[in-house]
Amino acid sequence: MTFRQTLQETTNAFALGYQLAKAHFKVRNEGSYLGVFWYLLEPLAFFIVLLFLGGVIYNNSIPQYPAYLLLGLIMFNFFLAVTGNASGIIIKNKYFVKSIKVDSAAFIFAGVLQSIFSHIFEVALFIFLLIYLKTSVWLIIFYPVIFICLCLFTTGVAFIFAAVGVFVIDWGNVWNVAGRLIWFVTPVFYVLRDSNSLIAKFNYFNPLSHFITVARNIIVYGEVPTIFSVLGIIVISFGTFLVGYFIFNKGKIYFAERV
Amino acid sequence: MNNQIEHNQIKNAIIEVKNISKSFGINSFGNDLALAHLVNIFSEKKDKKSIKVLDSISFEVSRGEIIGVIGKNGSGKSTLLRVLAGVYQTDYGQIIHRGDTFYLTSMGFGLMDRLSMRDNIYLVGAVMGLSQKRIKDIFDQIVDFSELREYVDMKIRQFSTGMMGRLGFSISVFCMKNKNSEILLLDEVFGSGADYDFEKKAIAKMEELIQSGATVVLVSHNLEIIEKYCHRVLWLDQGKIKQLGQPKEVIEKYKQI
Repeated sequence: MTFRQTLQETTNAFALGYQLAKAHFKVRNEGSYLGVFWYLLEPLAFFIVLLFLGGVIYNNSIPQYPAYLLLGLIMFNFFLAVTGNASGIIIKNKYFVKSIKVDSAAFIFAGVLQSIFSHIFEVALFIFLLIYLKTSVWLIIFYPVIFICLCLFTTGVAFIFAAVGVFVIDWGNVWNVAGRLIWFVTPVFYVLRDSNSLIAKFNYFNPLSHFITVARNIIVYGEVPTIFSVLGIIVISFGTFLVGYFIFNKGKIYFAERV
Repeated sequence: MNNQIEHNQIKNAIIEVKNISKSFGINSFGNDLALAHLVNIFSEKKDKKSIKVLDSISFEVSRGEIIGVIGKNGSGKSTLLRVLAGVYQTDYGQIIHRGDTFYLTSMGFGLMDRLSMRDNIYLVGAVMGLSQKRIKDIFDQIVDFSELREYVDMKIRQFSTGMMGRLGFSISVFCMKNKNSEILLLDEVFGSGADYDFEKKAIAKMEELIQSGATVVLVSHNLEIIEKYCHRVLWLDQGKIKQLGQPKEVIEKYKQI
């Protein structure tokens, strides 16, 4: 298959993913009393609990802690929501996969787009928090660039998980546990002070930790990131997307007979 | 129907099926848990048991030909269609298509009951490969054919089974027509589940599409339909071709079993 054909196929899958995401968005909010406010309530509740734990129990000294916490929380939640959904997405849509020649990548794109819809509300919440804290808000203009990289990375991982989920039926449960463990070892609600600790060494290889750190440094603290960290997240995001898409495309021809 | 068209007269094959076979593992990995995978790896246990669903199948379909596929349940009819559509991969053999295919296995798949009829038309149309603009162009035709215009903004969970049948059939048929594919692979598509009047209209519409000049591979248990529309009939038995020939002759032998 030529590059142009692959690009056309991906564009078509994305267009279908957009239609599926729109339909799911309507279904999710149809008949709901609070509607889109549900998108805010979950991260807000979690944020308040962690803020209380961080402020009262740990009595931490992290500058701008509420903004530090919320930004880390919404970025990690985006990753967790997309990858968790992807783990069982092909089996969930097996009727489509078996009944029609449809590009399964559309289901992954639909999942990513649905999470982007939710994420927009979370970012709005974060902006309100910055205003409330009387912190500089304008640096948020850099967030879309970081988020595009996070999106590419997350989509790449989602492609791999979706393919694995077809062949290993309990992959969703495995990732449910592993994802929570990674959440705890990623500095979402705390800061790593000892760079020689085991967790710090793990986070050196944890892309999410780098995405979150770069975003915090720019948006919360107004610091210019190092070239190394910017290049790092660009390479990781594009690389993961391409590897994930390649693995998914290699496996997708067997999906219909496995689900 | 024009059964007189001799296969020999039509020489340009649009589909060539060359010696294809397809097996499914009985202890399919898809049903295993991660722990079972791990145990299998360490015990070097292989997925040995399998069932051959298609066994050395070869045939050709000429451009414009309508070929019927008959056989008992589990004989491999639907698997053959899925393999032709590219939904399943073959284990051995080769399939050559000389045109784009449209595969339809049932009417009304993908309908979401918490969406309105309007939204469902746009959604299922997109799944069937039509652009939003194209769906907009045929939207009125779908609604008019289904005779459900007054319910177009109603959530379809409030629809009766018959109304769902009307909607599903109308979307599928008009999407199929507008895709304008050269090869139609149709698996049990006759019957909408709606009332008698609509059923008659649906059969007439399906007849119109089948006879529109496209190449059709039609799977059905309805032998009357097969005999009426098909130029040739392929009889599958336990994954093998039992007979391939003139509809009347094949169907008579099939009925004797």
